[in-house]
Amino acid sequence: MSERGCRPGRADRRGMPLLADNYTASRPPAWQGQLGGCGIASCISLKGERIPGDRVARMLTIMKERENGLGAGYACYGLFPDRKDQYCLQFFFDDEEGKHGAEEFLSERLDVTHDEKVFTSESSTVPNPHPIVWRYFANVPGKREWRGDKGLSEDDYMVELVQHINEKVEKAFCVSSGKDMAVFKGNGYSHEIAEFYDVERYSGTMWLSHSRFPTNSPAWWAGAHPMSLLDWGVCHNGEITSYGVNRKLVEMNGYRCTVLTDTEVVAYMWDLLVRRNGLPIEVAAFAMAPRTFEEIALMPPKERRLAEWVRITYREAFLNGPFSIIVGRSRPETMLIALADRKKLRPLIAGLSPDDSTLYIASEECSMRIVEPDARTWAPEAGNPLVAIVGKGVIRRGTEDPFLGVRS
Amino acid sequence: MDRSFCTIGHTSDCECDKGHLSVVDGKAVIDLKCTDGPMHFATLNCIMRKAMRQGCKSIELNGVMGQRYIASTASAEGLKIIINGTPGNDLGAFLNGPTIEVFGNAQDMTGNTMNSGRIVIHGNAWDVTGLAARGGRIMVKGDTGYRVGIHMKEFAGTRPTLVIGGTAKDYLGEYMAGGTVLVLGLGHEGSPVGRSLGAGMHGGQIFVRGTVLPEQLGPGASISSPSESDKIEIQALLDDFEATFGTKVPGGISGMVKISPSSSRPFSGYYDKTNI
Repeated sequence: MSERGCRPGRADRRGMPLLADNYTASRPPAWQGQLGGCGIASCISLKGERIPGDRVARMLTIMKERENGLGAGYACYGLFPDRKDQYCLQFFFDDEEGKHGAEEFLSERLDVTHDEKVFTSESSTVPNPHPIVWRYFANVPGKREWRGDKGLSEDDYMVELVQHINEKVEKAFCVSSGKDMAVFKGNGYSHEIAEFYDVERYSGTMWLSHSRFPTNSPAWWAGAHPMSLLDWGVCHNGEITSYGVNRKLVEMNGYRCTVLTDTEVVAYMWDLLVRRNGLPIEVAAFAMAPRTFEEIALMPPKERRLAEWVRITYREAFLNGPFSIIVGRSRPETMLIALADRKKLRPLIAGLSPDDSTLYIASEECSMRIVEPDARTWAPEAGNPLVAIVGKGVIRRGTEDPFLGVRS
Repeated sequence: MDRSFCTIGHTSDCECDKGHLSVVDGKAVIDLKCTDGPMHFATLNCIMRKAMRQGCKSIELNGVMGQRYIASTASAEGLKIIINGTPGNDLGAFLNGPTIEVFGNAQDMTGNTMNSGRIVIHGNAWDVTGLAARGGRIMVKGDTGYRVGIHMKEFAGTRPTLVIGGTAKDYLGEYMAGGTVLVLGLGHEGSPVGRSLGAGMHGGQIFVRGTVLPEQLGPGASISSPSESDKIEIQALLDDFEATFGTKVPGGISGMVKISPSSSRPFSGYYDKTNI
């Protein structure tokens, strides 16, 4: 094996030096000899207190057996209290040319009030090339026209803008575009990405995080999780085998898939079902992880009607395959949703701090024990969403009837 | 930030036990605290094997935090392993003889394909506990998750048993080919088991204390009342549970239902019977 590409200090999880460029016909990239599965971890302050970034980083990095250095990321909510009414667009640029092109595009279409470089470490072990990471705070102008399409809402306009950039603007990628939140992700180990962005410098009321073990899509900076559009952030462990059907549904509704990863359709699906179609969270979750028709037949008549209606109307929103996801949003409230597939083929554990102030969600119990040794843990049920809101508490534990509290 | 990679290449004379292992009177204590983050499971198992080679009859682990494969393949006769903390996935995989006692919750796949021995969890043990177990006993004081006891099997006099104090979710005992599962549902109202119970099972039995509706059964499973010989087996498991956890199971043996295979070949009709 040649020493080409050996980066000092970069090791796989067993301590072997990691030769990032050494993949050959007989050796895949980042080969470790042991398989993993993505790790997800999240924490939310139910009382609205600020949680420092190193807390979620500790939650995520303890699950290092689940990752292989090909992607990790963090999303922070409640991050910009002074600018929470403005959209924050956070970008990857390949070079200055990409930055110039994106700025030129934005200048005609958004009122950018402030922009700044996002801190990135110079001495990181994350493989090159590193993107330039920059953020823009912006308001949407009153006059909104998109290629003849008039009267778009602010959010719809922003969706069009961001998706156009990611599809058409060269050397630029918008990784998050929500209010009061931002995504910090890249193509490395969870501890490397935490160091690369120095997530310890940030604090927020809610964090999502993800460490990646890519199975069937490329490992690249934009392909790391969380996937984000507007305020939605999605971290996902598993595979969406119905990707083709789900992709068709979101594309028919104007979304463009640019990341080559099944998780992005999940992010667009939440935006479509909840923000645009106005479904309650429980109903959207049921559409994505529905009960079988056998189980629906056993439900009380009113719930059965609603369940059948959801399954028939949103048949293409059914996410088939193993998954556990954590979903965040900042509007109308900072909210955390955790959902596993209907057979619970991927792990998902929840835990509450002893004083009921903080809720944790993770793939493994150790992830919450490392930061909260006395957490009270439970397992949300298959296809049953857990919902928690900053300032309000745990709305659903993921063990209730599917449509509890939904008016049909 | 954690940069907690321990080195590999463990050998019988490597020095990874330094500062972690102390042995007094044949009792080993392993302190997992590392300066550079959590200890890697390969290092932990190497240290445990060193203690076993010294003939230790008990090994206590302190500060366990998600390390996988703890005591996998361990086969020292009469060995007792005490775990303080949260062991990771595949605790006691291929275990062959020793007793493991966990003071805390276990994660997924506890006792994966264990051969013999005993795993006691003073808490919950989540998904896929006891999968493909071929012998030995797993005792869980609290709840378990999905697909527990799947593909347990018995062979030539070894029979796995799994006792769950709390509840189990869907697919309990799926494809079960032997052994016994007992679910007590303590502290829980309603049925302590989920759907697709015993789906495709063709051997062994599941005893449930509480209600089981016909629609909870998976294909190939049938429901009946325990026989007199079943009651003897249940009573023995209850006695073990009460002695192990120092609790009393209210109502004892009453209110039990038995789930067993409706045939030894539940899917025979699905296959082409042509000889090849």
